[in-house]
Amino acid sequence: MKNLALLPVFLGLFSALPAGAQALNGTVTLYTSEVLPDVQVQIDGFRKLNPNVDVKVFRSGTGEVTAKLNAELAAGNVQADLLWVADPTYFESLSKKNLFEALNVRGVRVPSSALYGDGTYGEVRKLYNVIGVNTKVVSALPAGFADLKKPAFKNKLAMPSPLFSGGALATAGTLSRTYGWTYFQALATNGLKIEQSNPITTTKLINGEYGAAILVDYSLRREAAKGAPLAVVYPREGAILVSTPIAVLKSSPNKAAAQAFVRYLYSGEGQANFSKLSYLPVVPGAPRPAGVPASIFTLPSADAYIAQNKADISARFSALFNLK
Amino acid sequence: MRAEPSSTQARSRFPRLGTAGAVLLSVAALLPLIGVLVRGASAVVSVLRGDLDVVWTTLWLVLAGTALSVILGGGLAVLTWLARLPRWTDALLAAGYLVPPFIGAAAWLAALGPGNVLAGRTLVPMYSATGILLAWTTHYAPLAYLLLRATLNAQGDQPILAARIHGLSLSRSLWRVALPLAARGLGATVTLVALSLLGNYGVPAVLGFPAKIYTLATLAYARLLNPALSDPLAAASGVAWLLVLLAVPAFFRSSGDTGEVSGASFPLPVSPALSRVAWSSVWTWTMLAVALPLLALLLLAFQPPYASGFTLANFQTLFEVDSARRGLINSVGLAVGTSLVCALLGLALARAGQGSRLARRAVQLLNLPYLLPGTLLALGMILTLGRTALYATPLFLMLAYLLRFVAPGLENAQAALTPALSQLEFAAQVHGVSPWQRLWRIVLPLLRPQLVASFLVVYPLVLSEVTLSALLYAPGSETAGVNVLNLLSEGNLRSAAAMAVLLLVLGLPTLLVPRGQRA
Repeated sequence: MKNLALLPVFLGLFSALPAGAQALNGTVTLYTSEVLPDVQVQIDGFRKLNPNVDVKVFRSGTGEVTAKLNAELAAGNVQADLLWVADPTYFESLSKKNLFEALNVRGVRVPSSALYGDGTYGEVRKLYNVIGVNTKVVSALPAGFADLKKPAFKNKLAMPSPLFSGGALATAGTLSRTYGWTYFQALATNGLKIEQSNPITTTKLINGEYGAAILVDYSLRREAAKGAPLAVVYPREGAILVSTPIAVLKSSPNKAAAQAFVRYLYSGEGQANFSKLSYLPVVPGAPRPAGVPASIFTLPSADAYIAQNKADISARFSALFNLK
Repeated sequence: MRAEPSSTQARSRFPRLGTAGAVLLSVAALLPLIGVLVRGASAVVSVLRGDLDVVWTTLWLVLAGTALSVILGGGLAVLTWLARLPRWTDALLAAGYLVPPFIGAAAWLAALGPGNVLAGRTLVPMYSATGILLAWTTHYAPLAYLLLRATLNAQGDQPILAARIHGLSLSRSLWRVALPLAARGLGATVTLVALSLLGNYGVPAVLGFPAKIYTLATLAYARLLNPALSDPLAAASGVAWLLVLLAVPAFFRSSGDTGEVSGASFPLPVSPALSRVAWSSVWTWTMLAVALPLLALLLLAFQPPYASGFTLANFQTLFEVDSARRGLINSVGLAVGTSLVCALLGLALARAGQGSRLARRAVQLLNLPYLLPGTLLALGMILTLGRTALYATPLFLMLAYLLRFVAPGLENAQAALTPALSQLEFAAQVHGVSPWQRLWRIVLPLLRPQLVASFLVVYPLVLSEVTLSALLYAPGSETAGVNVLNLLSEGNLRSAAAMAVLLLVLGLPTLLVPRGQRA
């Protein structure tokens, strides 16, 4: 048979091709704290290019996702191929334990500032903690975090709990490091209320139970676009970057497909999807979402400080606001 | 209730196989429970030291919820019984029990919580102890009503009639005669409601988590999923210990045998005033506790955000999410599969119990996973099977559901295996009919109504299960109930309402359960 003789040639040809050109299949399991409808958009786009890959998702709050993964790591029965949550300190610890693959970002343009831990985990899009204002409750917009101490916001303030939300921990850590605990003391005196999560706080802000709240920007923008009476204020002092990296686990039985999913998120299409969902893309030149200032001024990252002082920040915050 | 094990020696290999099965199954059910208690023993002290406030919160919430449910449900039962309201009012009052508790909580959120369909602004702070009690009462008062109404029906008219004839006023004859006679039924009702509240995870998960109000059931969940703990499973098992300790007193209460139904009765005259009070109570309950929240849930499910009007978009966004679709498919599949197996298994075990005392004892043990808080069984499943390939498959959930819900299926089957059936079988045996033929030709056809009832009792319990599922689900084995909880915690109230409405519609077959068969 003549055809059979050609087989080695074909095989050689395939092995010479870059990883991305191979037809991928199997299942990829993503553990994430991203809201499901947003993840679904990216999964749908990825599956259009890789119809034979099934993407499964476990979604919960950052703390619960990391706990589930911890339990699976301890039991030696890890289900996750990909991890994507809002806790950079957790990524750092897993990266140091050598549990992550180096990200394979060949063929996509990823700025080096978006990759951490020797390229084992990376930022795929950005979101910021800003001030959301219900324009029906508060008439004059605050210019920045300092304004929230003013009497105009007395008993109208809220933020999510740093014990529950990775984003709120970034707020507590960054503002307490930059302005000292006196800042939160002043807010406590001004009646700042602590809610559980970003979504619950957002709902209550929209319903007028609060006038202003420190929240992630993308959902405020999205609800405002749907008609909620919200204004998004990027604070004068600088917004707070909430780091939400993604990584491929070394234990993954389907690393090729997992890496391809990460590459898809960095691709032009993936970045455009983020933009449509009102997140800021990380790849330069990708379209920016509507309603976002041309450049976002940020407070210096407090990630390292938070990683070192997590317990202390949680304890002081809890004591100040009487959390359990 | 159970048939006498007459003609035991004539029963051949069949029961022996059943006995082995019964023993095996109860061992499978007990192992995880014991595993949890062993694993958690070291953590009990630290839970008691650090989380005593949660123990007190749980205790007072359960006591208050039980009191509210039994007083309201019991009051309705006495009123409708005394006023001799027609049978169909039963359906109105029981309707609340057919709405799973966490869906009731979501419905109350839709009616009164932040962003509700009625006023927009919060009418009652639902993320609070008040909210939890409200959701619990609207689900469990109907249960108390059903149980107490059955007790009163069994008592019949004669005692109260005799009291009236001897000159006691209606209220005195009620206090002195009818209620003391119903004391056993009342005790059983209190026990069952308190145990249900203690183990309930859905309502405090929906309404408690956001307000940082924990009960032991939700604390176990929070401990298991706490990233800061070095051994979350032991910490959660420690909490499970306390759940068991709180549940134990309930087991010392009398069981709920309602006694024999009395014979014919002379109709008591019903005063028009009593009749008016009874009717208005029934309608007030139906409107406020059933129609209001359900209507709000329905409106929310079909409402576009920040506008009035009608939209199917909430359902559409739901179906676009893979895990939501998979959750629905899994839940329906698991509900049908588990109910079917529970019905057949219940029958097999009940028959085994007829023939052997060992089997009867083993079968009694199967009540434990049903009566004890589900959290215990879920943690046990993780301990025993969390490292196997079963984990993260729907089969893992099915096994847990089976162990938990085989008891209600069994109860039906036991009630159905009457001496008459045994005699019929014996007659067939004398005439040389083989065991399989007897099963196929006699037992199954005669017991078909009970099998259907068993199926329909277990079906809705599995369809909307959240206590076990929340702890056991993994990518690939999502359930619809867990989806509702997740959507609520994401703040996606409208899609959660849409999913809840779908679950209610899928649960409608429960309405076919013959009255009095409900677990």
